[in-house]
Amino acid sequence: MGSQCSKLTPCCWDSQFKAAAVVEVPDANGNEGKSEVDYLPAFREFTFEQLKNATSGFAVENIVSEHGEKAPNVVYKGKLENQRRIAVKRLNRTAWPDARQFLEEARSVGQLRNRRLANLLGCCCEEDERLLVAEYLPNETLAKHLFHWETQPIKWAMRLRVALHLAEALEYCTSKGRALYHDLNAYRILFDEDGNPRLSSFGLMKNSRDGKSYSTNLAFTPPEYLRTGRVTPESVIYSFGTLLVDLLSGKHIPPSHALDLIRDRNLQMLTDSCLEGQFSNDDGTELVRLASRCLQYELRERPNSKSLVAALNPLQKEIEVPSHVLMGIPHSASLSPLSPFGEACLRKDLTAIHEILDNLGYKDDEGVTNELSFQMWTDEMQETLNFKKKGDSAFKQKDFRDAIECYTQFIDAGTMVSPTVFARRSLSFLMSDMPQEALNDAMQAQVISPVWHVASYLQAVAHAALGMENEAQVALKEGTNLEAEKTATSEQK
Amino acid sequence: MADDKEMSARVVDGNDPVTGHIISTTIGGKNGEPKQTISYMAERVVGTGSFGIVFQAKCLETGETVAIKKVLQDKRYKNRELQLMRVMDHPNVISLKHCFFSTTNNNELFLNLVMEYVPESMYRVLKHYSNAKQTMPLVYVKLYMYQIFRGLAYIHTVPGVCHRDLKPQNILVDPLTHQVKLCDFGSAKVLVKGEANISYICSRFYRAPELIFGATEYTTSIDIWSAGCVLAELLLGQPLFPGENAVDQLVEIIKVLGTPTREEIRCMNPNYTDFRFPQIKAHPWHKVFHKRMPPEAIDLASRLLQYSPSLRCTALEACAHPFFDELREPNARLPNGRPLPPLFNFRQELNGASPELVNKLIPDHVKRQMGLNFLQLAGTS
Repeated sequence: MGSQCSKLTPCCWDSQFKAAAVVEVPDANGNEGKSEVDYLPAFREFTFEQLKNATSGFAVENIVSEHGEKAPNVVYKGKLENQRRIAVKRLNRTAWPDARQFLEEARSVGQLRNRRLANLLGCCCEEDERLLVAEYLPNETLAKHLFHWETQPIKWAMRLRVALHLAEALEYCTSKGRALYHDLNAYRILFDEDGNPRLSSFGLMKNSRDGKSYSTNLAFTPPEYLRTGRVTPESVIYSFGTLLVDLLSGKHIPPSHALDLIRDRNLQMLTDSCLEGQFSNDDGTELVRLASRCLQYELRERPNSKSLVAALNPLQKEIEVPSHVLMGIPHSASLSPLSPFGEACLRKDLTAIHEILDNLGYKDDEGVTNELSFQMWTDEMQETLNFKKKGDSAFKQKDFRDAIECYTQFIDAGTMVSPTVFARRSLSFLMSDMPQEALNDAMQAQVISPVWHVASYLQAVAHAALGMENEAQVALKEGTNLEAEKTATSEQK
Repeated sequence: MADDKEMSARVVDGNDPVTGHIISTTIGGKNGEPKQTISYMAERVVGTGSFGIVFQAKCLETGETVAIKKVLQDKRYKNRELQLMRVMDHPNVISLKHCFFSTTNNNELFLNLVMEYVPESMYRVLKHYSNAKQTMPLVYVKLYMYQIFRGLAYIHTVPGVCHRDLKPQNILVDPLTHQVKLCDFGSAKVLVKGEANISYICSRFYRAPELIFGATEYTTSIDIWSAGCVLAELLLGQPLFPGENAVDQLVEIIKVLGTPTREEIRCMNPNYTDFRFPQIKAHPWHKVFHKRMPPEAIDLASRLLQYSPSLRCTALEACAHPFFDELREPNARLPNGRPLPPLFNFRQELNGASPELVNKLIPDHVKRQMGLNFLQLAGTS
């Protein structure tokens, strides 16, 4: 569900927003507002075929997390037909031999809906396949931001917010009778498009048949798990304590050792050097006190999730600052208004789009590799290029029927690949009132050039023409993000 | 054991030690002491290395078996190993009996360090178990590791020496008494805070990650890492991090501990924070250690094998770890019913330790025996 890729497209598919130009103010401090999430569809079963398509045939490029050797346990990102981004966890039969048990368990977790969770949207159980489908959160794991950060370490205020949101997630799950969480660790916490941390719902289902609830260094597991091999709600609190130590230290300190350091009041040894000057001793002491309570050997001495929320709430800092600002995550769609291109798409102003595409020319085809051998530079090649040329001039003259014809011949020849040609034919189809064909071409352009804003914009217009308003908005927002990112990188150069 | 060793090195003429060759030297003679001749008969070579050779020899006058380490002496410098060995005095550290120089026909000067002889090394003991397809019984793991930490606690705190090459080959074991002694101080050095040291020390499998990162301001915690590797090896029966080269060594460590975090990298070597490592999640430890591994063993290993050098526990703290509680039981014995080797006769190494730590280190039954002495000891710390 998370992602370890460093470059990811921020994407949003929150269909709650009504006009794309509206600036969203994410609620940072979080207790007001609904905690139940009503924009998500109900839990459902998917066919294997659907999930295969959504992940481009479980393509290696779509793997966002891998774990386990004997029982493969891989998470892919994917996109459903309705544009919804999903995370797909593929287990195999050995993890859940009994299909009915698997379905029951998944359905039960699938009833949960909360904004502090990366919610479980569905599952699939066909023959040997066991798959779980959850919301895809585009902004990486806590492990990445805390331990392996690239541009900036997480600020103290944000670390406190992560602790609170996580406690709220646990409190919600507990209130719904799902207090057991398996192997709670920094990889299980993901950041959504607003930069808010959420708990992966995958951990609410046990990992495998042997009931190994913890897959990490045994020195980090609750003591009772080592004794009995079982997790209890109190074990989850213990693991929450190890996460508090992670948040404070930025290091992997075995909890028993952390407890000793806390007892010896050796806070300096515990504290991440990145936090110097960011917090007062009192703040640190309070978090440490909480951590040591969670890490108590005796189960009954550990606090419950409700009291964790109560203890963490007053510690919060900079509550008015949205998470994506604290995290330094680009949040272009909610910060910047639509670009002229985006505006044109929203108005479905095909003439304006035509003008933009015409001006853009083939600039964005750079970098699309066309490896041509000498043999290919034959008359045939020349002929193909002539089709393109003719198509371009027809496109310029707004003779869209001719343009479609010439571009089709260019594309069918197949010697060269050009996302721009697909984009131009897509617009030509739109002009000719053939939205389905236009959508296909816009999709094709995205396949060739996955982070090209033009492809997303044209999908938005085509979806709108097909009456698919929600999908149109998602694609428009995606296009806006991609364009903003592109502008940002070209400005850096 | 003499507190103030007077060992003036005499030069002895002779050839390379060959089996049966006899070397004679005299000791004493200063301050009116009587001169005394000591002759050694070389019996067999027990070790060779870039430093020179170690051979087993017998003292003809006393019948005592000794180990003689013979190293080429650069006339411009004092031999550091000799300087360090002279001040070492601990039951878990090999002791120097005396030393002398010898020359060869081509006029090379050799330093001969005469040390007590211990017949087995941890390396050979491990080999014995692995040949028999067994792992070492836990009681021996505890007994040996405890003594290793006691030896380290002594060298780290009293002479302030870092061994810098701790590995099974440099840990000697008496097969009868099961007493353990650290040996080979050829790489050892007194580390001074703020002064740079070379990072190309320590044998590969046992090298602390900060050394792989080329750190020059490391501390005695590199020995603690090595001891952690030895602990894991005794438990597993094979090296925990068997890297084929320096880079591979780091990969082996990452496979077990996970990729070091940015903060951990900073703690090891601040110059490396911009370096990118493959991001690998830690290997589940239940795959590293077998299922019935006691939690205390895992807890101790995880406190020793930490990326952040300052977070590794000290040797003395390791001695106090619950993993070793069995040794502190009043009726603790060797499996054959014989008494354990001395484990609680601490001296200066307790200076500066907290009263709590001292309290944990000395079992109640020993405190009662010591009576008043213990109270005094606790009072001075």
